[in-house]
Amino acid sequence: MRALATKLRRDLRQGWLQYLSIALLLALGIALQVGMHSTMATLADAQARYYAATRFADAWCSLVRAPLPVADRLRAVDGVAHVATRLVDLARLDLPGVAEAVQARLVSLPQHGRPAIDDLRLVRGRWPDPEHDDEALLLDTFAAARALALGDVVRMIVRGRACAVTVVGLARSPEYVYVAAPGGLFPDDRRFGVAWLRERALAAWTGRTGAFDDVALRFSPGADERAVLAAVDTVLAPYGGMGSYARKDHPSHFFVANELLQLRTFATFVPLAFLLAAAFLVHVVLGRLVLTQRGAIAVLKALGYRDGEIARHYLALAGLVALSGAVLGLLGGAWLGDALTGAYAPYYRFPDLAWSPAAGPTALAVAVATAAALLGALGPVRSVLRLPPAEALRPPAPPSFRDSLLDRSGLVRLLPTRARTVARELARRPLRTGGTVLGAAFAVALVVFGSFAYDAVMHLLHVQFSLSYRADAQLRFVEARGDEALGSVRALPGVQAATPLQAAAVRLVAGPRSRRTAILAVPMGSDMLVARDADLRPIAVPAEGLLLARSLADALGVRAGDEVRVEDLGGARRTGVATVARIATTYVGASAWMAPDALRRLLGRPAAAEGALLTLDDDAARTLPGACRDAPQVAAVDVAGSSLRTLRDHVQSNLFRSLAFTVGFALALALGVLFNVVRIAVAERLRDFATLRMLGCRDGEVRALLVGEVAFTALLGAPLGLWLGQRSAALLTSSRGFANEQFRLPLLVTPRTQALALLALAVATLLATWAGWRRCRRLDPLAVLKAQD
Amino acid sequence: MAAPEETPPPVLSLRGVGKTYPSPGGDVHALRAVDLDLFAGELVVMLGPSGSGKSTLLHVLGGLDAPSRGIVRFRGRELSFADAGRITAYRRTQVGFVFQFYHLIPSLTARENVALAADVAKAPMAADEALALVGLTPRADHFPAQLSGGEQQRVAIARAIVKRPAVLLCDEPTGALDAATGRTVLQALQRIHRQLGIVTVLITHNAAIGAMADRVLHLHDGAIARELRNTTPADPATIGW
Repeated sequence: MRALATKLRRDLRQGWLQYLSIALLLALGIALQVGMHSTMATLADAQARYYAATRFADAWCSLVRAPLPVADRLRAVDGVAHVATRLVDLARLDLPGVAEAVQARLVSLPQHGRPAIDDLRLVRGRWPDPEHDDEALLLDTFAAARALALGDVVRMIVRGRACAVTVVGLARSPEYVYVAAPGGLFPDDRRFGVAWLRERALAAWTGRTGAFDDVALRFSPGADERAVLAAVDTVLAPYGGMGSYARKDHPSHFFVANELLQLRTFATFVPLAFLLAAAFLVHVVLGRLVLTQRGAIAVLKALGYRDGEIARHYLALAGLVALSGAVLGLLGGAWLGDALTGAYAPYYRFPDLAWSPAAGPTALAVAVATAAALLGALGPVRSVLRLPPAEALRPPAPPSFRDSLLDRSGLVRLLPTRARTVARELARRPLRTGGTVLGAAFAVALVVFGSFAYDAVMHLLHVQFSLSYRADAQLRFVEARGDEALGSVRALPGVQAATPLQAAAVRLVAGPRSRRTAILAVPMGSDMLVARDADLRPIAVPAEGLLLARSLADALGVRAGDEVRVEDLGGARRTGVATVARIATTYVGASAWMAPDALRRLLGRPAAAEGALLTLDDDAARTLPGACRDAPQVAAVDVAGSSLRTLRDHVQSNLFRSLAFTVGFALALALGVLFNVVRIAVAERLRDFATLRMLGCRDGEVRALLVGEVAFTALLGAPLGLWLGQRSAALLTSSRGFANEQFRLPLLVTPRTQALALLALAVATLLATWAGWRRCRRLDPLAVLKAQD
Repeated sequence: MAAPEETPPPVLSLRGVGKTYPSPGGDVHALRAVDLDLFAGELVVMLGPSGSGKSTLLHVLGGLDAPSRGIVRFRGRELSFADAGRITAYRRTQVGFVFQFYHLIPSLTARENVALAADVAKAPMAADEALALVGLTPRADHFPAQLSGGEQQRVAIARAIVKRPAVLLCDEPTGALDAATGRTVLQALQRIHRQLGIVTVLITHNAAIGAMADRVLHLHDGAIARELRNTTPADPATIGW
């Protein structure tokens, strides 16, 4: 079979561009599948290993203050295996030459040794010496962002008191994989960090010697989570317990788990859709290619080649195309996986995060691609092999155009004669036309999908930060203060207005459902925190009753007019019943709002401000942190402008990159499909085109037919693609990773997105047509007709 | 009294062979009950107008098409058209085809096109030997697009004989060629026929070509209408058309 092998080699070399375009289409599908799944597997694996190695806690509880022996009562709770008590506080850092507000969470380490639960991973340096109270470990990513090195001295204000620590080590913690400042959405290493000190030092600074205000727990195997948490709450209630929570509600874990879930949602649907689209198209395109070899197949049969030998020859052709696609796809997938892992690394902060391949999804991708190519070739080969060789040697009989739906409908009579050939050609091959239309549609849908995510997140930021949260800055006091504190805040330079901010940690209970959250006491008529309804119109905080975020209302299963029980987790720990007055639209967080008076009546809490929302003069955003440095009662300052800028930068850089990727993929998909369709159409209809030329049609008129065919398919694909894109976006926004209590992605497909998608398709159509156009330009009608007579 | 001359058994034998194609306007009878014996060393030319059934008969002889009825025997054994494996084996080992439009594989050189047939034969001659028989040794490494029509047809002949077939079937081998080139191709065919002593069947529209045959069959409306024997076959070089 050496001659047949030579034919295979030459065929591949001669049609390399077309085969390469098919291989690339497969490669893109495989690369996406391999890249995204392996990234997901790498992250999930790194997370599991990290949690296991550091003995990540199963539950936590913050409290006001409890004597250390209370821990023994926690150890006695049925289902609790290990207990680690600690002190946690917030500090305002005073970094030389840094004007903006920088905060750090201070967490105590056992006086000797390492934490038994929620252990740290020392990245550099050493553990603080128990004999030196001024030594601390810093979160390594924060240290890197602020260029803090081992041996540096960091000054800070803790509970109004100036302190200083020397950095002796850099560490990572499973509790702070995802480090967002209180109230923040995304990690901001420049403005928020974590520092670990030995217990004695932190106790001395915060006046909590012999006590703890935070506890981490590990469960025994088979423990009943709800029962354990309830028992822990009972033990800690007298000590100001804020309500225990399990791992799924841990802020860092929640965000990491949710990000992984989002990635899984993407990794499950996007590559699969792409792979299936590519597989379908390869099937159609390769099939058409084989049919153009009908004559060669017949000759091989006449020469005595067995059906199996001929089939193997064409399967080898398809197999080699699939193999090239698989190799390119695997290389691309490895590159994509490595790049994605690298892109995620700064946000996940898992130690030893190195990309590793995922065998299952890789095998699936290669199998689907290979099967698509092989089946694509096998079908037409079989159909030619079934013919008696004598019949296969003759040119195929003129195709029957009588039965097309288009003709029966009479629509075709409305078209000019030459345009009828285009319409009939498309109607006669519904499978191919359908495949092409679907390919174009997938490309459009892909762009809609990618661009929608960008628009949705930008809209979310707009609603969250421009419409709902309208304050320029937020202050947090060291301790809750009375109204008089507002006076001194208003006196700070550049402050135009200040609104007291009170947040009551509560548990809301509706029937069997309950949720831990905070009720924000928002003065009626405040224009700094503005709740919005579904149409984004402002909702006034009701004089009585609760205003609930939609996600929280859904989680509790309540509607406006229903009642919920409110259990105060702080203050006097009273329990009251409140009516849900309104439901607000929010995209981030599960908040509840109440008028301050209503909250006071409900829970008996005095009107005390834990902080303040400010509106500022233009220059004050820059000067406020400096001014607050001298105000010891201020624990933290958060200037909205800078956090919003960080957020926007983060979102824009990441989403823009992914949008560019998506548009690139979509263009490749559309080009791959349309280019192949044009090539095949030219090959099949060369005789028609030559005949038209012989009849006196101008070059341009003949080529217009080709353009018409491709343009018409693209036109059909465009609306289908817009619809598919909209549906995929709707599917995404209703999936758990994108529609949960803490985060909800709005379904927003803008006209700009649609225009971008159509533009991508138009570019692909133009490029593909141009390729066909060039091919037609070389058309010698006489030679074509002679060759085929 | 001289002993009666013993007739050798036919290489191919057809009895009552018919071929019908269904068509929307009613069945088309391409062949009607054809009886025919072809003997070793015989060169037979089949003449007839378009639609007379020549090509269909040639395809049935070569196992490219199954008859609708009747029996085809090769060396006394019935060809079972229902058994795809056996009919392929028959084509593979016993039949060489030459087509009007050559049907060469454009991506293979002359030598490789010939090797394509040799690759699946039991005891083929070397591809170069077959090319030498048709006088194409200097053109062995040329692709079909680099060869003239006559040269392409000679490559097709070399491809047909490289497997040392028992039967050589030629479908209008000069149909696409001018007279001078056609004569060259016919000379090559006659030379090979004589050297290898194989049954050669050649169909054509061109009555003049009948002069080179041992036997001329005239087909009309799917049947053999007339049969002429020629005791002194002419050299194709002397045939004019």
